[in-house]
Formats: sequence, C-alpha cells, structure tokens
Amino acid sequence: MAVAIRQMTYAQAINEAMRLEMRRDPRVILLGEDVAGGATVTGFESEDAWGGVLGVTKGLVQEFGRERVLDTPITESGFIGAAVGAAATGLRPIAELMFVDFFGVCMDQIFDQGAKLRYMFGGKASCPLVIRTMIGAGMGAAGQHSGCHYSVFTHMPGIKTVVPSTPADAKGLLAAAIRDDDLVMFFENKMLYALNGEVPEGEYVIPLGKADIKREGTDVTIVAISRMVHQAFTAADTLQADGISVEIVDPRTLSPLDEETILNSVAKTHRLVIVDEDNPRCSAATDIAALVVEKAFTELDAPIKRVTAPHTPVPFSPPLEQFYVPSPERIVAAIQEILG
Amino acid sequence: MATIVSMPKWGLAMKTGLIVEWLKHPGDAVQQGEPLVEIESEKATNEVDAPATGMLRWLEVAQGENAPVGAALAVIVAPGEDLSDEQVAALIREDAEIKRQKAESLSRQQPAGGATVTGARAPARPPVSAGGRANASPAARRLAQELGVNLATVAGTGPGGMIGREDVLRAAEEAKATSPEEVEEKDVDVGGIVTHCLIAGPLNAPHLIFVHGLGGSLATWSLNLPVFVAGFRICALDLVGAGGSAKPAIDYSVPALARFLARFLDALGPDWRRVSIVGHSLGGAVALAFAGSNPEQVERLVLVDSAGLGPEIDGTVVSLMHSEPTRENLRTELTRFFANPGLVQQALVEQLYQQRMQPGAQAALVSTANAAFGDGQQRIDLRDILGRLNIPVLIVWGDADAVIPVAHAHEAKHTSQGRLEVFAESGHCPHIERADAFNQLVQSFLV
Repeated sequence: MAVAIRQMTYAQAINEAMRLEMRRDPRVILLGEDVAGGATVTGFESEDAWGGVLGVTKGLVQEFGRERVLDTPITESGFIGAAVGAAATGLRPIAELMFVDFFGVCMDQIFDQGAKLRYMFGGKASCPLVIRTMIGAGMGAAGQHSGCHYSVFTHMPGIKTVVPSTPADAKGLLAAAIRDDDLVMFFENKMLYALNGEVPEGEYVIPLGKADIKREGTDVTIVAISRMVHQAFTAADTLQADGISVEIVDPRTLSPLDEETILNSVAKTHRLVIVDEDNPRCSAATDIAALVVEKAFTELDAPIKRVTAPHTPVPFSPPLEQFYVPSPERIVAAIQEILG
Repeated sequence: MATIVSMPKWGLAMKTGLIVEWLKHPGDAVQQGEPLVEIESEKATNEVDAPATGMLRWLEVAQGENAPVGAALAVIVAPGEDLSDEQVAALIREDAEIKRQKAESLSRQQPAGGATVTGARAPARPPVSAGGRANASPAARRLAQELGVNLATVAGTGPGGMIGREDVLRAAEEAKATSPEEVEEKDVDVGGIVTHCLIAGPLNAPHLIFVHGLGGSLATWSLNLPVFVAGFRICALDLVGAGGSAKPAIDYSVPALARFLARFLDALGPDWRRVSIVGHSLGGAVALAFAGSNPEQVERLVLVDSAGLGPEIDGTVVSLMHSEPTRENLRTELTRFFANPGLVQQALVEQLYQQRMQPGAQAALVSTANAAFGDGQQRIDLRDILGRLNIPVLIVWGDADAVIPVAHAHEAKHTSQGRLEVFAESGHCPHIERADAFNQLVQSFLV
C-alpha cells in the first residue's frame, strides 16, 4: 500500500505524532506550561488557544480535553516530577519542558528518579515518559532560552536522547519515543519549527538508535546533529562545486548512538567532521570523535575536526549569536583544512 | 636430524653459483667445518664448509651445474640417521617451500621503496617530525604496511604535508615502475684514487652509506645490503687502501679517511650531499669524524662496535694484522671477531686472504692500523665529537665483543643523545652475527 506523503512543517509533524499516539493509546497524556492555553476554560471558549508558547500543541486540547492535555503552573520541579510519577504508575505522559535551559530546576526528577527507576527496581518499574523540549540559538532569545544541552542528557545512563532534523524524522521519532518504555528526552530545535518537508501520512515510526545517511558522498563524512544537518547541506553544496563529495550522517538519536553507520561511513571516506551546536566540552561531538578514534583509528586519513558552538552561553547580541552557531562557512573551512 | 646444505650468497650481486667440485661424496663421513664443496660465483671461487657432522647422504646439484642462491645442494644426515630417497626428496621439497614462504613474507614486510611524488603540492622532502617519525595519517600508515611502502620515501600532500592514503597509493604505483633490483657496482674516481663501491636502491629513497672497518671491505655488509636496498638508496664503499679500491701510500689516519669519505661523496654527485651513515669499527670512527666536520651533511648516524669511543682495543687483533697474512693467521684473526667461531668458514677466510694478498693491501692495512692504534690502545678519541653532534645517533654493540669492549657503548650512551642497542650472543660484528635483528633495528631507526 502506497503511503501518502504530504508537505508539512516540523512543528505540524510533531503535533501530528502526538495526536496520532494519543488517539492510539488512551494512556498518553500531555502536560506542561500553556500546552492547552485558554481553550475550553469557562469564559474563554471563544479564545484561539495558543497551544504552547510556539503553538506546537495547538488543537490537542480541543480533541482530547482537559483530562489529557494539562496546563501546569510554572513549576518544572512540580510537573516533571508529576510526569515521572504518572509514568511509573501506568500512564505514558508527554511533558513539555519549554526550554531545555530550565532543566536545572527539575534535574533530580529527570536524572535521579525517572532515569534510574528501572535500574533501582531491578527492572520491575519503568518510566515511559517523553520530555519534549526546545533547543537552539537564532531567535535572539538570549542565554537562558537558547542552549542545546542534549549532551548533558546523553551523558546520563537511563535516558534516551532524540534530536530530529526534519519534519518526517520528527514525526517518526516522536511516535517511537512515546511508545518507548523508558525516559526519552526529545529535543526540538525551534529554528526548525517552520521548516517544510515531506511527511508520511498515518502511522509512521522510526526506531530509536538508527542513524540516517542524509546525503551520500565519498571524500569526507559530516556527522551533523539536529539543525546542523541543514548547515552541513549548504556546506556540501559549496564543496560540490570544487569536486569534493560530502557524506552527511544524521545520528537522529544520540543515546542510543548508531555507531555502525558512523564507523562505516568513516571507513568509506576516511575523514570526519562533526557539526554540533552544543558546547564543545564533554559533548556529543567529542564523544563521537572518541568513538571513531577508538574503533576506526586506522581508517582515518586526517585529523577529526569538530565544528561546534564556543564554550560560552548563547549571546543575546544578534551578530554574536550568528557567530555562535556553526555556519556553513566554518564547516567548509574545516573540511578544506583536513583535505590539505 | 638431517641438515640441508644450501647455495650461499656472497655479496649483494650474487644470484647463482657453479658447483666446481664436490670435495666429499655420498656415503662419506663429514665433520662440521670441514671443506665440503667448491663453488664459483661471478667474482670468486670458494670452498663451503660442511654445516654439520654426519654422513653426506645426497647430492641435489651435481658437479658442473649451476644453482640459484639459497637452493638446496646436498643433504647431510646425522650419525646413525637413516633416510630413504623419498624422505630426502620430501625434505628438499619442504625446505624449498619454507624458503619460498620466508622470501614472500620478507618481501611483504620490507618496504618496497618507491619514488617521491613530484608535483606542485609535493614538498621537497618527505615529511618527518622532530622525533624522526614520518608524518602520516593512521590510514596511510596501515596502507603503507599492507603495500610494503616505506613512509620515509613518500611525500605528503595532506594537511600540513601529512602523508595520506592517496600519497601511499601513488608511491606504491611508482615503486612498481622503478626497479630497486638494479645493482650498480662501480669504480669512482676520487681525486685520482680509484674507489670501488656498490650502489643500489630506489633513486628517491633516503641515501645511506655503509663504511666497513679495519681490514674489511664492503663484503662485510653482505647480509645487510639486500634488505636495505628495498627502502634506501644505498652505497657501500671500499675505503681507500681496502677491498677493491686503490692502495696508494698516503695518510691513512682516521681524519684523513674522513676527508676521503667527504671527497668520495662529492664524487658520487649532488644526490649524496645529505646521507645517513652506518659505520663499523674503524668505519664508525671515520663516519663519526666525518659527521663532526660536516654535520650538515649527515642525517643520522649508526655506529656499530665503533672505534674512537674509548682507549681499549684488543692487542691480539692489532698484532695479527701486522703479521704475515697467512690463511692460518687470518682464521685466528677472524675468530676474535665473532662470538660464535663456527661462523668463520673457509670461504670467509679465503675471501679475506685474496683481499690481503693484493698489492699494497698489507702496507695500507698496517698504515691504517698504526695511525689508529698503538701500544694496545686506541690513539683516536672522538667522544667529544659524539657529545657535540646534534643528530640522531644509534650505537649498536655486540655484548661479547672481544675487539672493542661493550663498556665503550655504555659510556657513550651517557655522553650523547644517542640511542644504544646491545645484542646478546654477538661479538664485534652484530651486523653479521645478528643480521636479521640488526637490519630490523637499523631500518626502524632510520625511517
């Protein structure tokens, strides 16, 4: 049976995944700050509710009601904790942590409770919880609303980390995350919400832990995370004009990490550049570099290069913010450097 | 256990030998070290001694026939050992197979050499880090090993001149095109002194000079040159007064020989302006003195049981050199050079005898010996030069050297930046007694 493909945005694809999973499984609930907005509240019936600060959950409360789409107080420590408890006791919650930069106030709930439940109870408990959260610089949202920080969660055992780069991946991976029996952090790059792309209709699930080769090439491998896949494409187009063939690997999930696809690609091209918008120290980029050095050292024909954000918070100044995010120009320069 | 007698290899150029005469016949009892067969190569006729005691059981190559180097010539069985003809034939087949496999693995391990890449992006010299290690990517390193390419001969075009996979592939292709098998034996005119030498190896490989010791000749490197020729442009010379070179009545002191070496390199041409040198015994002192006066010309230095690093010297050897060069005296002299006296075969004695009997040879030898040694002491002390040298130096010594004590090596280690390797079970000539290990060590030091 041919699957119908439609054009939709990254935000719409996320919305569709939640809608389909909530229809499929009554245990799936959604909670977070302003995820319902004013809709269905007595006296506000006529309001066009926001559906989240950027409208990603728009329309869900109308279909599933206040019982399953819950607006919470501005207390991450409270509602993330509630979501962990709900997950441990039989629901499959989706909690929205508006910006990942806020993780500090609910880290005990995520790291010391949710992530360790299965381990602490010898496999008799689990935490089928998805925490959706916004990442990424580029909107002038300054240092407390613009970080990536998926590396922090990738470091922690018991947490799966998902970093979709396209509308289709966002839909398929979110469906898999909701169906997963463990705590999944789902990182949505807000700069991608308006990105249009082809998305399969109906049930569409992409298994966690499978990287995707977004572009095939022979001279150099770029492992690009989240929005950086698109920066890598621009760089690859530029280099193509010089006869340099770039392969782009999108890991799609950082934990679990599809080591095999990355190693196979490096074995083919013998050169690796990792593009990561997160801070560079103890990061996903560093981890992937270590992986390749350890397992494919003799495949390397040049030093591995990381193109990342600097080791600073995201600046508010728009020119500085632009400089902060890895640009296609920096990627091109890194590749030219290792090609000699 | 049966022992196979094989065609020896005398010198780099020898490919086959002719069985002139079997001195023993099947059924004869033979003693280890007893002359067994007379063999003629392109340059010399020598007797080969029996390698084992027992009975000559089988002749594989008949009198008057030729056989390639390494080929089985005969089988000696141990006393009381009984082998059928089928067993003998099987033994010889097995021996041939082992030799074939060994040669194959050797040619795989050995660097195939290869030409330097030329082109706009290629640097003038192969990239070598301060530590002397080639600047190559991990993938290039693995590929070079697989293809038998010597990284020291490859120019890098990668980032910062790093050698990449493509550079190795290109070098391997070019190495196929140039044949390192070409051996050139020639007489070079060094200001009127005819100097005999042997030159071989890929033109663009690192250049390497071998300098023999007192009383020797370039033949001392027979077990080494065939290995080095794969990855280096090598030249082994007979010093003035020795081997096939002229023997005029001149100053034979170490400084004079070092000046001679400088003129010899000039005569070889501009390719030899910068070289690494391997010097044995007095040749080590000559190399060291040369490096001291021409430091810009020397890349690396290998000193093998070298003179000039301390006062002691074996008086017996020096006085034997002064005596009449009879075969008997030469055998006694040679015995002092090896930890294992079994290595002093009749062929070696004969070869040396023929050399010493050449007109002027004995006079030149005595002049050289008198200039370097006297009253049981070395007259030349080059330790300060060694201390001053600012290039990588490898000092190699046999732990059982009866000619120059190994203590000189240990002391030299303290006075220089040099690296020291002492070979067990070796006398004054580790490059002969421990040839395989020596070749491996020196190659890895040089690249």
